[in-house]
Amino acid sequence: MPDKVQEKRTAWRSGKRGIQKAVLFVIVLLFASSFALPIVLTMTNSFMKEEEVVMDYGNVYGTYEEAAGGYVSKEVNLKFIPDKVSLRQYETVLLLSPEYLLKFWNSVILSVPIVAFQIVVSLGAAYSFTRFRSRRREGVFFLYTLLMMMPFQVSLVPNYLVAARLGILNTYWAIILPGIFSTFSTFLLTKFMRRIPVSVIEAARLDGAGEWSIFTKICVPLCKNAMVSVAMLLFIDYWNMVEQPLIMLSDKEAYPLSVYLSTINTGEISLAFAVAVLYMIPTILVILYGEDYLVDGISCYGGIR
Amino acid sequence: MSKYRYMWMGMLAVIVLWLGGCGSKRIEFEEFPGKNYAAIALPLDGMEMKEEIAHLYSGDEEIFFDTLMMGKEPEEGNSRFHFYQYSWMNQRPEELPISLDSGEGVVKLTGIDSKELALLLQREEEYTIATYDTNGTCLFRKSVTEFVNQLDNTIVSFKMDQEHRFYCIGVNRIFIFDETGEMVHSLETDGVFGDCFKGEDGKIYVEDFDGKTTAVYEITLDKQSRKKYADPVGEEEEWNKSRIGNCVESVRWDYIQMTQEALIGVNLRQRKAKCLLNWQDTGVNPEKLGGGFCEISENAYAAICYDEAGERSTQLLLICPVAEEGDLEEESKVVITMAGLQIPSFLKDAAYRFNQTSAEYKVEFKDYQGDASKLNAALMQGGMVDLLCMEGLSKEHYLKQGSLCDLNTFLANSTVIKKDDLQEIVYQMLTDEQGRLYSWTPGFVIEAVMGDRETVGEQQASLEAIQQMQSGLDEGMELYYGMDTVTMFRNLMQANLQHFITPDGSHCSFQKDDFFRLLQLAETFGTVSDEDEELSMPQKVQNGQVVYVGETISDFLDIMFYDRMFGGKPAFPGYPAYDNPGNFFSCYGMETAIVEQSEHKEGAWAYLEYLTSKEYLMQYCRMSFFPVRKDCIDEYINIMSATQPYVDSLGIQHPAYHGVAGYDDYEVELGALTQGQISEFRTLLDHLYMPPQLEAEAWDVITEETGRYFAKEISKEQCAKNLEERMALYLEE
Amino acid sequence: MKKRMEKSSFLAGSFAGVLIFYILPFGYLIYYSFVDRPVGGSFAGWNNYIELLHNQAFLTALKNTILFAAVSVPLAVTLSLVMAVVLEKNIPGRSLFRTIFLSPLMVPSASVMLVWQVLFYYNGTINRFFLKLGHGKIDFMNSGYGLLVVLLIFLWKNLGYYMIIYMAALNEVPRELLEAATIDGGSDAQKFWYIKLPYLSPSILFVCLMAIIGSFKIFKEVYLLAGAHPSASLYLLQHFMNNTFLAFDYQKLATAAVLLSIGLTIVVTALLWLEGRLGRDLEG
Repeated sequence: MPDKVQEKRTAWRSGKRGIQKAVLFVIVLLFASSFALPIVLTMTNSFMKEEEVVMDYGNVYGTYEEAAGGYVSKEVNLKFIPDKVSLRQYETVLLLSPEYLLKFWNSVILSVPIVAFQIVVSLGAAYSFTRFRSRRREGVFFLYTLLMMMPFQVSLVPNYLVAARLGILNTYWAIILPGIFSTFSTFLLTKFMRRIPVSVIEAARLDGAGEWSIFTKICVPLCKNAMVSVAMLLFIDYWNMVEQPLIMLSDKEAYPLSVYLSTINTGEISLAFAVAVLYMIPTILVILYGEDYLVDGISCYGGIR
Repeated sequence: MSKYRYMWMGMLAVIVLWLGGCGSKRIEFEEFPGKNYAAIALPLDGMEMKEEIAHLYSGDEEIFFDTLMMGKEPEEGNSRFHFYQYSWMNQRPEELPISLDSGEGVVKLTGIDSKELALLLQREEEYTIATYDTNGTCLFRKSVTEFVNQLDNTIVSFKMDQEHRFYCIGVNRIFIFDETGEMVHSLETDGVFGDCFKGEDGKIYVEDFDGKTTAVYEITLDKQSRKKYADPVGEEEEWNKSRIGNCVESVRWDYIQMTQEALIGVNLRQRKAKCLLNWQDTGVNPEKLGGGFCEISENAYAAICYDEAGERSTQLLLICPVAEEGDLEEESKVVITMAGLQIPSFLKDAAYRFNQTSAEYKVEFKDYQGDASKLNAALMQGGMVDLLCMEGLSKEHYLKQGSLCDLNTFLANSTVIKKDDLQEIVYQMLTDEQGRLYSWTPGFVIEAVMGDRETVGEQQASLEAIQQMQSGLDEGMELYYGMDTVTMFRNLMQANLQHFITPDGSHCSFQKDDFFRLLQLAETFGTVSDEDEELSMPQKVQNGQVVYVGETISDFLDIMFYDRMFGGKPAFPGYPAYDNPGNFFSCYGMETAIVEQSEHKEGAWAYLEYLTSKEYLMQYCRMSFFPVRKDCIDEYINIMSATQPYVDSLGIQHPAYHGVAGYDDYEVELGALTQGQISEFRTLLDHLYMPPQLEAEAWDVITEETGRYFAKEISKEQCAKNLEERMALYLEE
Repeated sequence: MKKRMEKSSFLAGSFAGVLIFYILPFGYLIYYSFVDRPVGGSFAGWNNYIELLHNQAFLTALKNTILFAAVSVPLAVTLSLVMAVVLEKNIPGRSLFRTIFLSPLMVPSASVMLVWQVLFYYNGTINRFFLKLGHGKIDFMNSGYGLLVVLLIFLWKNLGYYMIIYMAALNEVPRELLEAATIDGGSDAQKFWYIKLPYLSPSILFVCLMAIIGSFKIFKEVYLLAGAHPSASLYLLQHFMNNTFLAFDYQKLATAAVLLSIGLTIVVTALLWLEGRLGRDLEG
């Protein structure tokens, strides 16, 4: 094709491309803003004064005027910008009522060990599923996949009974131990490990390395991406868990923050937004930190078996 | 975003450390000590019989001082005050010759080392500070009215420190006076201040309860400020909710605080708190210790306690450790666990007393406070629960799963109570169609709807008649006193549940006219006006402004009162219902069952027996509910209808009965129980009905759907349809 | 022998834990589904299963759950794929958008539910908007629209995550193939269907699995939105399980859970088999 025609064609194409891009951009922008809406709302509302929160949202919970000590409007207003910006909510939560801080620490004590040890345990299992293939093992892997899919109600009460038998009820172990052995990370890490080219492993074996050294020197370092992304997902999951602590722990002061948040929503809605924002901050930071790992890490989950 | 990865990580680390650091400032709570406390009632010879004890003060030095206390005798609209020093050596109160000016009332008593009393006196609007020594000499007296009134305040609490400075805690100000009575300071505060006390370091602290949390402020004179400490007891929300009374001085701690479970000692600066004793082990119900509390020495406390009727504080208790041998007995007792969603205090009190009298068994509580899933999990664990308090739980559910034990065998073999001893109506209400007895209660009350016999007739009016009456009402008249739409509907629903839900609880049908009629009837009631009523309910009844009154009848005094209110001719027709069930029978929250799988059924039964023994019911259930025993009811009738002094079967002498009862401002003398009233009571008992217990969630569904109808958001057909759908799901589960 | 031990030792720790904390409880569950009462029961044979299959509440719940899964999973899978493809094009602010789409994942359900409730409440924002338009108010919770609301929430929460999975997989497609296709004059659509899609098929399976898990997890939001006894359109299997536990009827719960597990097993097996077939065919 003559060059000129080629150029024209390309030029016309890129022009069309430009419009296409702009249209797409607008669509995506709209979409994204509707996604971000609830979060932005929560954040801006956290700067409201307590009375305003009650006034605007009280009707949803059937809060009565006398109980709320103020005016509750019949219609529920969704406000983006508070009438009066005030840090009162934060002040109350952070400085005046120490419950929040104690519960925060409880949440950390629960989530971090679960995430850390689950990954450790799963690495071993993933390695074994990768390296040693047999029908039996595939069956076990299938079992793991199934266990991963069960909703928690299925196992909640039996876990309680098992914990009672083991005598660890009302301690954090009753939540941490089942968490450590959850099969979710095993599934993800196995998928990842199976992508490691067999040739690398074979080469190491020919060099005379034993299983353990292959594991520690080759597989684990290669999985760093996946480990971080798995850790992120797990952390978010366990940071938000509510039912397990509720039933396993009877000490009110041992509850993690997620439980506190759910009770506050039915009790004092005035603090709900501030607590929610403070509660979101660790998860936001974790995501921002690990976002790239997430993308890199999961690229391989869909990988070939 | 990835460029800032380290920044995010850093922020996260900082936040975690900071928050975690704050969190680690958590209070060290030391656990309960060993169980070796007892509460001993102290002899009070020397104090007047009619006197109520108020205020205790025992000094705050290491040395054991005699306790200052004050007796208050009501006298013709005023009170007379007597001051005593309780001598621990002689075990008796010794009166101090202190006399006050006439008309002066004591707001607060405090002292220095219990050698010198300081009093804050009030006569109408005038406040005076006065100090006396134990010989009765007035050392100092100064009026501080001008300062207080200047800022329109009321004094809530009062303290004197070693340098004779006086601290008056007002509602939003703290006044500090020096030893000459001149005001040194007045600190403005923005809280609602509570009591003040002297801390371990000699400084004065003030507690401030703003309705939600308590903080403790240290008052610093030189800096003219107050320094705030978060109150450790208040930090744990649960403790905060269960606080009783104010902070009290202590020798070893900054202060001690009573809560519903324990006595807690707090050190503010070291952020330490220790549970000093567990109320369950002392056998004292802490809610009865409202009159005053003080620490006498290490491990020993004096407390002012309400008398048995719970009306006046006339008992002084000494709470102190007992000898070690008691421990061994305690340890070997079999533990019976009672679990429930909301265990009433009558059962808890009875358990304290049962623990003290029983040699083999000890009852402990697990109050789950509304969390039914934890209760069920504990039941499934097996071996954890022996007694189940049924308040808030659906008996049918547990029956279906075979978790409740039939008590007929226990009843047959019991020496304390037999089936014939029970009032028939009780046995009827608690047994099912096959005659099995699955729960037990020490008493019952009646939720009745009453009216004047001439106006409303003996029989229960039908729904149409009620509707006609409602529409034919004159201005200013009320058909049912104090009923608005929501409450009326709830009552109507309760009276008619079996009309809509089959007895076995498997089907429901709401889409019928009967339901619509209930809705319409309830709608006509509108809302209750909030204005202050000039006339009280009884006055309205007597004026003829109110036709029906729905109230709880819990003892004979109520019967006498309502009988008098309706001019001696009351009728008890109950709520209008299709099947005419009558008035409601209620176990007042005390219905308890024994768990079938429990291993300590005899112990559980022993406790239930104790609850319904004649001695216990005669002593403790007076004025709270009707006892289930026939002989107790007969005795009460005898006592209350006695026109001459009467000795009951337990040998206690009762004077001629003269009842006094009131409702709001309306008070009336009732005399003794008459035969007519007794027969009214008996007929009332004949026609009772126990409404089926729906769980709170089911009521929530009903309230929600009908609420939307009453708010005119949906039509009544829609409401019925929604309700039927949701209730069907509920019942199917 | 040593080889055997070595092989097993890696798995041993994990498997022991899984045995105690997952398989053993599942065994309890099976046990409870065969007895007639939660404590001290006796063997009841297949009674529980038969009763359950006749139980209206269970059937309603089952129908709703399956309906919801059948609608939401395909929708989630395809929508997020579309979003991933769109975001592939070099639009400005790509990574910011990526973060925004990922953000619903980190938000706790409890706090955001307040916002959703406000939106869909009977007197809430959307209904007020409808009123302004002249349309009548819609009772979201009680009419059939309930599941629609839940679907919206589900998509909002999970699309971002699935989209990222696809984006990552799309990155893996070898450049050379795409360039070759461009030279041969292939359109975008053709490139997508014949080149990218095969590489995506394992991811699609993965997203399906995650979406199924997600459609169960959404119960928490429904519970916060409509309470424990919602109207029949919102009544999910977990509501049934929750409420039967509160009514101390554990056998029903256990039976339902066992049936659920059997159903899930069938679905997962089918998915894996399907992926095996398709993947093999297209991969060659």
